[in-house]
Formats: sequence, structure tokens, C-alpha cells
Amino acid sequence: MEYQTILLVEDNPDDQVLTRRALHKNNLPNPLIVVNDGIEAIEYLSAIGKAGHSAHPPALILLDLQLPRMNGMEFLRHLRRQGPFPLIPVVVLTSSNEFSDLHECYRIGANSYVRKPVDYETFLATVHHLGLYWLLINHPPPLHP
Amino acid sequence: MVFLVLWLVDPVQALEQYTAQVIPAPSSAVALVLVGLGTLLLEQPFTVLRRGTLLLGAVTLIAMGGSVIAAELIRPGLHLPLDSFFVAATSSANVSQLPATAFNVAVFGLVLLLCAFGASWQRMLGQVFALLIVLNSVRDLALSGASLFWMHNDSPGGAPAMSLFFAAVTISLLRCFPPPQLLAGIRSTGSRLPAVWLLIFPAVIIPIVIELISRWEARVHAFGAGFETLLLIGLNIGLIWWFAESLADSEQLRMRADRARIESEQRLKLITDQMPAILWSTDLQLRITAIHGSVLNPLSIDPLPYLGRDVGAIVGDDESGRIAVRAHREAINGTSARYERNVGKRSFDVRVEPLRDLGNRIVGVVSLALDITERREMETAIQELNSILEQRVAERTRQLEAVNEELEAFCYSVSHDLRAPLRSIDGFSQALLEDYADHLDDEGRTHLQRVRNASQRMARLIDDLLALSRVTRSSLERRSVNLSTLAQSILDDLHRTEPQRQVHLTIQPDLWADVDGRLMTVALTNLLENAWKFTARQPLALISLTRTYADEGAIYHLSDNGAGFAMSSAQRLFQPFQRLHHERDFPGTGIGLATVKRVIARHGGQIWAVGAPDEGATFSFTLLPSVGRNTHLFVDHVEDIHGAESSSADR
Repeated sequence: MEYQTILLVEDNPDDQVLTRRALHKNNLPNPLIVVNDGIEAIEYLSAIGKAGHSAHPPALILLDLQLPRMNGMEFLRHLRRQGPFPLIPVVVLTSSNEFSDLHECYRIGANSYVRKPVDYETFLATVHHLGLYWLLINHPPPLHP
Repeated sequence: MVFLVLWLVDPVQALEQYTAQVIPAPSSAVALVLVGLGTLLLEQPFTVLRRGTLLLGAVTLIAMGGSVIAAELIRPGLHLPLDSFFVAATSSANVSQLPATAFNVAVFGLVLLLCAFGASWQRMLGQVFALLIVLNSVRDLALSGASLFWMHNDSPGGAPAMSLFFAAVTISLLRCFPPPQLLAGIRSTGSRLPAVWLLIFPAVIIPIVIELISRWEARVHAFGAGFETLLLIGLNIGLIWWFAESLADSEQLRMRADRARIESEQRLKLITDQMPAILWSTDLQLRITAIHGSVLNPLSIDPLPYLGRDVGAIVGDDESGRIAVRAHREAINGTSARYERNVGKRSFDVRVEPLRDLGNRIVGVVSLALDITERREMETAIQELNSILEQRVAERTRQLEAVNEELEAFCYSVSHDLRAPLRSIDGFSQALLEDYADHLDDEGRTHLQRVRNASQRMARLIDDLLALSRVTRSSLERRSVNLSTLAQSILDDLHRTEPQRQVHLTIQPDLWADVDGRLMTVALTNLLENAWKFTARQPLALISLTRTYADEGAIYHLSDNGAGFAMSSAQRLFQPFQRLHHERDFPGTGIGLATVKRVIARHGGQIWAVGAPDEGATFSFTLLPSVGRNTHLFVDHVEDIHGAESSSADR
């Protein structure tokens, strides 16, 4: 069986490593695609969307908000409006707990909002729950509506 | 009436030979009644009935007098059978209205008509006619006086009694009926009705008395030839004295009235001199009849050239001029009007009222133009100030908004960027502990654990600081909030984290308060977490939330039986990063109570704390700005006793 991919949109290399490690520690074998900002994420999804491309679109996008070039919210807005796969579940994974961020993210179509804990053990647990829920329990949207 | 009765009874036979001269003809008596009635009616306010009666009386008088004169003109000596209308059996043929009397009767009828129904100039004509009657009567009186003196009986004029009567009644008419301009000076200022009767009385009685006495003398010859002359002279002196007396009376009244008028004019002058205004009046054609005012001088306006000029010509034909003329016309039509007008750089508030005479007829307008330039200037200045102020407020608001935006951005990056490295520190320390545990001894592992603890504590500090700044940044929206249920739910959450704790809660139910729900949740959470934390070592923790009332309103008290604090260090309680306990005993960042204080301050309230080491603590706060002078006393009082009004920390 081919594991569904996870797309991580995160510019901080430390966080990239720690997230990859957390997935690994939680025994989630899903391939993790890492891009550094919103533009790269769009380019990646567009490439997959092109006819004839063999790869599947990601089953889940883990999205940081604070990103260079195109930040998380801009990407999310673009994805939901005119992205090649507008229904992909997006989990916002961020340091911010600002009320305005929470409100805006849900308003523009985030499926979930998770604050990255500083305590790594808590983070591990969080990633475990995320993987369990979004990759196993949750039914993904149909690819071609 | 008297004469008519006298004629009808005519009891004194001896007087027969004199009747023609002494007692007037019946038609004359009727005329006299009509004259008296007309004069009385002229004085009364007009009604339809009175007008009709007056008109009828006047026309009758004219017809009566006119017919007699006409007959006399056609054939002198012809007697119209006019009197037989009134007295059927006329005893003597030579009794009839004399031409002089007839003239008076006719002219008086005309005067009545003119004065009652005429316009201004016609009333003046009426007065001229009235004067004519007076002159005619005086002439007749003089003639009959002369004939008496020479003992002649065939006077060419009217009967003296009639003449005297007409002179008296016409003078009273002139005195009692307000003339428009003519003879204004001789107008009676006292009561008008008695004057008529006073003048009629001697006019009627005196000639009769004279005749009676002279006839008695003629029969008895008691005093001799000069008696009648002496009597006449005496009576005339008496009459003159009496007239002089009443003239003096009326003169006194007039002087009193003049004094009152002068006083009132002086008051008016003072007012117009002191008031920044122009006063003027016009006639019905809107020609200026008078103009004065203290403002004319500073405006270097000479009032004289304006007299007699048309208002429309003065104000000009532009829009504001038309408004002014319209207002004057409205006043002429009986409505007061008001308008504003600028003359040069000055603004006037003009009020125009109808000007009425004593008969309540509108004879022109009277206007007052009040100089309101200063008021207008002040209003303009205030408006300018207001707009400047608004500009400044808008500017400040923009600046504040900019600062606020900066602060927002700063806090955002703090929340986001400061935490990221901490995650790395903690994450990689954990990775080291997991992946390289074999290469580390116990001390190395402890060090790494300390690194992790420090980074986690740093994260809490950042979060607490963010919460503190959020309290200041967010807007305050008061709603009715039940603090009891809010506190209960917070404590329920705390209980879930440590279900093994024995905590006894006493929360006064239904503590409703008008507060910002989100901010109050932050404050109550901090306070209750403190209470929860500091009672951790009590076998049975007691936490209570109650409300009391004092002069300045509701005070809320949150008490616990926890570790408490020394009142000496209470100053530091509410200051950020100040802690009264060791971290190892009671963990915390020292920002919670500073946040609470800020929330209370945002609501305009006060917070203070009372406590003692190991004897628990009570935090008291108000949630509304204190009103009145008691505020200071109260706060001072609190500081004196507890010394804890404005300071604290997590203890």
C-alpha cells in the first residue's frame, strides 16, 4: 500500500527536522514533503495537478503561518480559491495564539489550528494525535469533485 | 331729555312770554338727546348695534338741522312743522328750532359721521367742524349775553342754553374722542366720561337759573336795574373759576402723565444707549418716522437722512433687502417678523413688530436690530476651535493607531519568533537525551534537563507577557456577566487538572457585573489559579468569592486559606516579575497579578490585598470608577491600613 504524503510548509530548518523526527518517533511512515514557503507549496501542488503526473496530491498539509515570500494565510486563501486541490485538509501549525490569527485562519478555511508547544514531548504527542486523526480516522475529500 | 320733559310739562305760565328764548323747541330737545347719545356711543367700543344707532342718530341730526336751514334759506321766517312730530298740541306758534341751533345740529351730525366712520383725514375734518360748532356757539353766547345786557329779547343767534350746551358737548367730544393729530394737546388725560357730564350740567342748569332769577327780579324789582348784569357777571366769574379749577386738575393730571412719559423715555433712552442695537419705526407706507440707537455712532451712520425714507430704498433690492422688506410688510399685516442682516462687518438680529395706536389700529411698524456680531464671531471662533480640536484628535488617533499597530506587530513577532528558538532548544535537547543517552553520564543528562526546563519556563514567560499586553491592547466591551458561574467554571477546570485536591468552594451566587467578559475571564483565572496554587499544601483548601457594598459601590473579595504573604512586601504584589515565594515552592512567572491589576484598572476599578504568612490572603477589587469625593478618602484609607493598594505579584 502506498502511504499518503504529508506536505509540510515550514521555513525554519530546525522545525523541519523536529517535525520529521516527531513523525518518525510516532511511527508514521508517510512520506513528508517539505517546502519553505507558500510559493513553493503552490508550485509543488501545481506540478502534481498537471495532467500525466504520477504522484498523488498530499493527504494533509501542515502549514506554518510566518513564512517568507508568501505567508501561510496567503497560501491558504490561494489554495481554497484557485488551487489545483482546493479541498485538501490544512492543519495550521504555528507558534501564534493570537485571537486574530485563530479567527482569520478558520474564516479562510483551515481545518484545524494547532499551537506548537515548546515542550518537545508535548509536541510528540500532538503530532501523534494529528497523524492518527487526519491520516487514519478522518475521511479525506474526493480528489476530483 | 330734560328740555323735552320741561317742554311737555311747561308748568310756569308766567314764563310763557320767554319760552322762545329759554326753553328750546321740542325738535331741538330731541336733537340734544341725539347729540348726547351720539357722543356717548362714540366713546364706547363699537358693536354692530352701536354703530347702527350712531349712524341713524347722525343722519337724523343732519336731516333735522339741514331741513330747518334749507327752509330758512328758501323763505326766511318759515317754520317747518317739524316740532309737531314730537308735541302734537303746540301751544305757541313761534316755537321752533332756531337757524343757529339747526346749523349746530346738522354740523354735529356730520362730525359724528366723520369721526365714527371716517379715515384719518376725515376724522380731522370732523374735528375742524367741531371747532366750528364751538366758535358758532361762543358767538351766539356772546350775542345773547349782549342782548341780555341791553334787555333785548330778540337775539339773532340761537338760544343761549342751546349755544352753551353745544359748546360744552362739542368740547367734551373733542376732549374725549382721541383725534389722530389735531388738538392732541387738549385731550383729557383723566377719566373721560364724567367730563362730559360735568360740562353738560352747567350748560343745562345755569341758563335756566339765570332766566328764573331775572324773571323773578322783573316781577319783584328787589335789586334794581343793574341786578341782571351783576348776576351774569357773578355767574360768569363762577363759571370761569370752575373751568379754571377743572383745567388745573386736568393740567395736573397731564403733568403727572408727562413726568411718567419722560421717565419712561429716559429709561428707554438708557436701554437704547446701552444696548448694541438700532431702533426705528415707520408709518404704514414703510417710511422711517424715527431712528436711534447706540450702534449708529460706531458705524458712523447719521440717522437724520434716513427719516422719511422708504425702508425698501434703504435696504436695497438684493436678497437680504427683500427679506427685510417682507418682514416689515408682515408687521404691517399684524404679524411680528424676524430676520438677520449684515451691515458692513456687523451682524444684526432684527425683530419687526406692528405699531398700534390707542384704538389698536396698526399705524406702522417698530423694529429693533440687535447687534449680534460678537456672538456670531464667538460662534465662528468656537466652530474653528472645534474643527482644530477635531483635527488634533484625529491626528492623535492616527498616531495612536500607528503605535498600536506597531505594538501589535511587535507582540505578534514576540509570540511567534521568540518561541521558535525555544522549541529548537527543547526539541534538540530531548533528541540528545533520546539518541545519545549512552554517551552522557547522569550529570550531562541533568544539564540537558535543565536546558529543557529553562526553555519551557521561558515559553511560559513569553505567554504571560503576551497575555498582559493583550489586556491593554484589546478594547473594553462591558456586558452583564455572571462572575459566580465564571469563577465556578474556572475552578472546575482547575479541579480536573488535580482531581485529588480537597478544595471547599464558597461562591456567592449571581454576582452579576457589567464587565468585559474576556478580560474578566483572564483576571479571575489568574486570581483563582493563584488561590488554587497557594492552597496546595492545605489538607482542606478554602476558596471563597463574595461581594459586599460600600460607599463607592460593589466590592468583590476572593479569599483563600493558603500560604498568604507578609503585608510588608504587599507593595510588590501587583508589579510584574515580582515574586514573594520561591519558584520551587510555588511555580509562576510573576506576571499574573500584574495582569489582574491591569484588567481591573481597565474597568476603572481598584484592587488591593490583605494577608499574612500562612494565614491566607484576600484580594478585593471594584469594577467601576469610584464617583464623588469619597474616592480619595477610601483609597487613602485602604493604603493606610493595608499598604497594598498598588502592588503585587504571584507572591
